[in-house]
Amino acid sequence: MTSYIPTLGTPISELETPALVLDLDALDHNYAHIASLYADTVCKMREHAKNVKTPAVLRKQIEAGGTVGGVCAAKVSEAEVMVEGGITDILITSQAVTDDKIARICSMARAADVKVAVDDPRNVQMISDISNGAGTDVGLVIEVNTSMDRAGIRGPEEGIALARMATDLPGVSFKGVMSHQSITGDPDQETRFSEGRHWMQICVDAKRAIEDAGFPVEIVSTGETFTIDVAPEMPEVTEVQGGTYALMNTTSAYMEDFQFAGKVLSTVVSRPDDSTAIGDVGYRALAAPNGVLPSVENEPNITVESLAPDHIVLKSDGSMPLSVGDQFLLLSAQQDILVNRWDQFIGIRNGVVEDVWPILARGCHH
Amino acid sequence: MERPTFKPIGTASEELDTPSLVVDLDALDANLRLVHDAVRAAGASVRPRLDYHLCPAVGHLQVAAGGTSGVAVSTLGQAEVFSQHGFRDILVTNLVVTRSKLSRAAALGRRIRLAVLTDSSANVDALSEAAKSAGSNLGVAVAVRADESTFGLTPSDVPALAARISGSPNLDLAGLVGSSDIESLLEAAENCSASDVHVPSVIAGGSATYDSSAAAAGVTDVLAGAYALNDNYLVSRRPELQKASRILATVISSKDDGLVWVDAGQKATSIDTGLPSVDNVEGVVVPRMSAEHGALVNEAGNGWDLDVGSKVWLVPDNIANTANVYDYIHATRDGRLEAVWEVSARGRYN
Repeated sequence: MTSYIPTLGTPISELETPALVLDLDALDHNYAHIASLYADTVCKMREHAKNVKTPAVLRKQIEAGGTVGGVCAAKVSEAEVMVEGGITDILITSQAVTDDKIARICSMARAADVKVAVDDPRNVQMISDISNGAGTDVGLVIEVNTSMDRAGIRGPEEGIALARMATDLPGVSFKGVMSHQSITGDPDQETRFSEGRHWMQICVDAKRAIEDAGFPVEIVSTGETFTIDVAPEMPEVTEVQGGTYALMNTTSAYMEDFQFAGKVLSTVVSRPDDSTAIGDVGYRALAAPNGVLPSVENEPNITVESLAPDHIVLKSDGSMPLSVGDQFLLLSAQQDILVNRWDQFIGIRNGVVEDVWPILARGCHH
Repeated sequence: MERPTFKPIGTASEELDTPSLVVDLDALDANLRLVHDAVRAAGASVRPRLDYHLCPAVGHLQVAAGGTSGVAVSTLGQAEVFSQHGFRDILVTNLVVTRSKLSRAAALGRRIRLAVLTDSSANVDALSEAAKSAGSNLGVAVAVRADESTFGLTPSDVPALAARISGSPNLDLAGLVGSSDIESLLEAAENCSASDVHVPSVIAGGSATYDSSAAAAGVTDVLAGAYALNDNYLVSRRPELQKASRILATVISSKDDGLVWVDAGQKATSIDTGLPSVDNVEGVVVPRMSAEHGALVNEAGNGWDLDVGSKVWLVPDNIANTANVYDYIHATRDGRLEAVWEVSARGRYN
């Protein structure tokens, strides 16, 4: 892939657009907030690589502090990129069920501490067989269903059975439990805490049942951006799988401790009438998966009317302040889908390019 | 970038790593033949929109199918990529307004026959200036506005701008380009001939209307993209076209009756315009997707044998948007892998 890499020091006004820019002061703020929040807690951050997909960015959180020293990855190939990027503790949060992918996990396990989510005894057997054959040791983390009704065991008895297999079988080691929760709308603090506690408690209950059955649980990996401040109040939670907090979504703006760090820079290419401007970026580059449109930063009188494949239509109250050639910045409603469509972050500080990072795990669907 | 486990040529399609974008070559060939022959028979040319797959190998098959008048892309960056892959006549269906992009367009215009769209006299002057500085020639087509949501000019304003292009140094009037609304385009073309402005090409849009657009009096070129690989949007409108592109996915979790989860979610399918459908299992739908997972529900209530490890074929809603998240197209024929092609222009938004 050909990448556009501007010279360091280029002012933002001279960047080719559209471009995915990373506000480095905001990113540093978000990472420093985690470092301080988790400085003295049992619970630490295990940042999810599915959001920023870039080892150079993820390492900044590890260096800032407050982490377990590793990351999550959603897919096997995403985990490989992290290992190649020098990160040595990876939890893969999706099930790997084919021979190829399990073999790739075993290969990674020679270079790093690799753990993968499981929820099915046949899958545990398969991983054990392949890993034992390869002479490797793969960590297994039992996924517990809480709020999503997606993957994950549906009750503690299933968890005990999987923990027993993971303990007894060769080539694998039982490490712990994990879960992922979601919340919709714009929850207030009280709702966020009560829902977060309620769902994460299901994961903690599974942990207790497994321990009561005689299998020590090292990792309780649960929590996400909306529970970043909830999880540390639950003493058995050892780590949080935060992702969105690094770049932030407009749909997570209720998490007021975090700043918007990921933005798309666009240029007005047409002014078809007095109140309308058309920008050079559309849903292909921005991603609007649930119909939620992006917002224009610092322009309260401009609304996003619609997205075409390669264009955005902006409307203003009264006369449109933007002319052809003017730039504007967009904030995303779902940044992980957005980031997956781009090849690099252009890091900006004080209005100029400070660094350019290839998004190495972009497109790592496998 | 995408990192599949690459399989040998000849591998059965369902043994490919997942999720992968898979194109059936016989279906692709049939779609190309059908549309190119129909447009040619109506006396027009096809200008394939390569931004619907972003893959040079597919683009070359489109040109080889005959009856084309060059190709089209949606960004200048895509034009640069396709020019490196041997395409010599490219229309960028977009406006070029910034200084750096004007320079890039003018530079590319030295090497290939390049045309871009415009909708203002200031932009025509800027394009002329850039081409003059570079010592190149640029084709410029007037964008005809179809509705409030797009750029372009209303038909009454088109002749003056077309005449300005014709009279500008280092610019050639490449024609008029319409979108979904062919009436505005035809009206603009009539206005030009009434004003004695010679328009070399009248370029109409749409895979969904390829035959009626080609047959419309005055239309010389049909811009068509989705017809080649096809998607659910077009399947519902043009059932004679085959589903040439599908995403192969694997069931990774099965914990509830009548519900399984596959390893293709929003990121691996692109659902901005709609969810994919399931092609190989009757009565099964995709009711929702999260970022990394897709839900499959047994809506018909029949017995099904989907379990962990099962393969499913998903038909994308919008192939242009789906191809943009893959780096490879796995090309198959008769259920076997025949080639792996790079999606070279994916992500070239600027």
